[in-house]
Amino acid sequence: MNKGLKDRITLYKSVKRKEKYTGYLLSLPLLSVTVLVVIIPVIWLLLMSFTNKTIGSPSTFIGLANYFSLFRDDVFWKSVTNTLKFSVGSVIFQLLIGLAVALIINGSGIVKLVTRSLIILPWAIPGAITALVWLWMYYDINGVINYALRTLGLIQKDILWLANPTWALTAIIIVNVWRITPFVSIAIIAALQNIPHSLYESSALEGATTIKQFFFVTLPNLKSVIFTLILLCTIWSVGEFQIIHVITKGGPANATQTLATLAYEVGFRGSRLGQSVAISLAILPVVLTLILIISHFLKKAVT
Amino acid sequence: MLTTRKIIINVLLAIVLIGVTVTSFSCAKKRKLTVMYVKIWADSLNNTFEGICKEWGKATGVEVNMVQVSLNDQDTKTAALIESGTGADLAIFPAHQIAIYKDRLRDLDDIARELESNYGGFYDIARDMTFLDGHWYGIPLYAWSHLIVYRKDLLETHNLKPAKTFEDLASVAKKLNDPKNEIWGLGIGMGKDDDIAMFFQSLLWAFGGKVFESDGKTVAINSPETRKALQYLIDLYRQGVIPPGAFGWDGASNNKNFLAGKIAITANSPTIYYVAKHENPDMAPKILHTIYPTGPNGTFCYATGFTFATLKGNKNTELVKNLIRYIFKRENYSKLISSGEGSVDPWIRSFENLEIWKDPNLEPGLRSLDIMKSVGWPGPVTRSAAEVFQRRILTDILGRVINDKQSLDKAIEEAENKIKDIVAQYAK
Repeated sequence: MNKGLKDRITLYKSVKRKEKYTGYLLSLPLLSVTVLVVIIPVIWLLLMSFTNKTIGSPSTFIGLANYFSLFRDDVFWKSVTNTLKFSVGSVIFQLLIGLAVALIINGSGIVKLVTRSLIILPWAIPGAITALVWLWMYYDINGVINYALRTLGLIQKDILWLANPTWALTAIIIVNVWRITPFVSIAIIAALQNIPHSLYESSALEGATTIKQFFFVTLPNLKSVIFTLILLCTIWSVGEFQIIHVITKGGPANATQTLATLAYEVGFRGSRLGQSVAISLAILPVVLTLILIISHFLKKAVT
Repeated sequence: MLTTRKIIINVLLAIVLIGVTVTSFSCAKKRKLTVMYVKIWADSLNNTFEGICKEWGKATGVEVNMVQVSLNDQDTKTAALIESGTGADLAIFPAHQIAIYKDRLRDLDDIARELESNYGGFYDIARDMTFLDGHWYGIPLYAWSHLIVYRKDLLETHNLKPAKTFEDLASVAKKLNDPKNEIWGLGIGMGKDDDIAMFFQSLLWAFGGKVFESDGKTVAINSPETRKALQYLIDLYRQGVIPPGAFGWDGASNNKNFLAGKIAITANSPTIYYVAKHENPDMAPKILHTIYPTGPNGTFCYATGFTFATLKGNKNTELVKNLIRYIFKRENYSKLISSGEGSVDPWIRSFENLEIWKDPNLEPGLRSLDIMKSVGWPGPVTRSAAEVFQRRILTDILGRVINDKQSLDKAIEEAENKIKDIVAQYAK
C-alpha cells in the first residue's frame, strides 16, 4: 500500500471517529434533557412503587408487595377493565368520526375553511371546563340532554346518564370522543391534502367509483397518520383523568373507575403514594406493548 | 479617552450595580409570608379572610402572599406542601388531617393556650381534632356544619314538623314526596359526593354502627347496625323518595335541585341558604335548618372544619404566630365569622353571641358542633379511617346493592374486606 493511500485511509478513519464523537456530542443536550425529565422520574417512580411511602412519612422498601396487593384487589381489576373499555371505545369513535368529519370538510371553499377553524374548539377548551359543562348537561333533573331527547320524542323516560353504570361509562366516552375528535379530523385533513390529486384522476380514468377511490387511494395514503393517531389517542385515553374525575369521580360504585382515577384516589384521597404509583405503573407494560406494535405497523406503513 | 462603547458599558454596569443594591436592600427589609387557604363557596368569607391577612401585612410591613386553593384541589395541594415542606408558611388544613400529618407539623401550644385563656376554650370536637399527644398541632379556625335542610313551606302545607328521629325523617320525606310534580322527598346523592358521605356516616353512628372499634384498628363495619343504616337509604331509594338519578349526583346537585324546588329535604351545609339569600330571595324564607335527627344510638354529625397549621422547620414561625394572633383578635375573628353568614361556625364558644346567630336558620349550625364526631369515631383519626371515608367505601355499598344487584350482606362483606386491606396497607 502506498503512503498516499495510507494517509488517506488514516485521515478517513480520523474524520469518521470525529464524526462519531461529534454526533454523540450534538445529541448530548437532548439526551441530558431526556434523562432528566423522563428517565430519572420514571426510575424514581419505579423505586417509590417498591416502598410503603405515604404522604408525610418516611418510606421503607417492601419489594413487590404493592403489586401483589394490587393483583388481589377487585377494584384494581375493575379499573383495568374500565380503562380498556374507555380507551377502546374512545379511540374507535374518535377515529371513525374524525375521519368522517375530515372527509366532509376537506377541500377548499370559505364554508369548509371556517368549519375547519371552528371544529377545533372542543379540543382547545380546557378539559375541566368541558367536563363541567357536560356534567351539567347530563344531570338527571333539568339536564339539557334528557330534555332535548324527550322533546325530540326519542325517549319517554329520562336516561340516568351518570347513575346507571353502563350509561355512566358511555357518558364519559362520549365526552372524550367529543373532545379529541377535532384533533383527529384536523390531522387527517392535513394528510388528505398531501394526497396527489393525480391519483384520483388516474383512478377515475380506470373507472374507480368514489367508494373504491376511498378504499384504494385515500385509506392507503392515510395509513401512517391513522397509526400515529391510534397511538396518540390510546395514550391520551389510558391516562385520561380530568373528564372522569369531574363527571363521575369513578362512580357509581367504581363503575367508571379507571387506573388514572384509582391512582388519584389511593394517592391523594388516601395517602398511599407507593401504592398509587404502582397502580400508575401497572399499566405501563400494556401501553408500551401497544406503542411497540403500533410503531411496528407505522414503520411498515411508511416504508 | 472615553469611547462611545466604553461610556455605554460603564452606564450599563452602573445600572446593574444600582439595581442589585436596591434589590438586595429591599429584600433584606421586606419580610414575606405565604398563606395557603382553602376557598369555600362563601365569597364574603374568603374576601374577609384575605383582607384581614393583608391588613396585618400592611401594619407589620410583611408582604403577605395569599395562595388560594379550591376545595377540589385541597388534597393534592396539602400533599405537595407536606411532602416538599415548602409552599406556605401558614396553611389552612381540613381538621382531620392534623392527626394524619402531625409528625410534620410544628406545635402551636402557646397560641392555643393564649386563645383558651382569652376566650374560655374551644369546642370539644375542635380540641379532639387538633390537641394530640399533649400538643396543639393545629389552631381550630372554623367548623363547617352539616344540617338537615327542609322546604318550610312544604312542611306547612302538609302540616308536618321537622323530624326529630331518623324514623320521622323517612316518614316526613315520604309524605312530601311528589315525583309526578317533580318534587322528591329526600334529595341526597347516593354516589361519591361529600353530602351523602357525611349523611351516611352520621346515620350509621345514630344507628349504633361504626367503621372501627375504639382502638382504631379493628374493623367493625360488618354489623346488624350497619345493615339497618344501609337498608334505611336503600328502602327510601327503592320507594322513589330519593330521585332515581341520585347515584350520579355530585356535591352541587342537591343544592341546585333544592334551589330549583325539586327536592323537599336534603342534608347540606348552610350553602343552600347562603346562595338563596344572595341569588334566590324568594326561596330563602322557605328554607328551614335543623340539626341531624336522633337514632337508636343518639344524635351525631360528621365533623368537618378547618384549622391553621405550620410545618416543622418553617423559618417564619414567629410571623405565623403573630398573624394567627391578629386573626383571632376579637374584632377580627367576629368579622370573619360574621362575613361567612352562617357558612362556617366558630370553634370557640365565646363567639356564640354574634349577631348572625340570632337568625333561627343559622343557630342549628352552632348546635351541631356539640354532636360532631370526627372520622374514625369511636376510634382516633387515622389514615385508614380517613381513606375509607374519602374513597367512599361505605356509600359504594349502596351502588353495589342497587345497581349491581348484589345482596346487602355480600356488599357489606366486600366493603369489610376492602377496609381490612386498607388497614393492612398502612401497617406495612
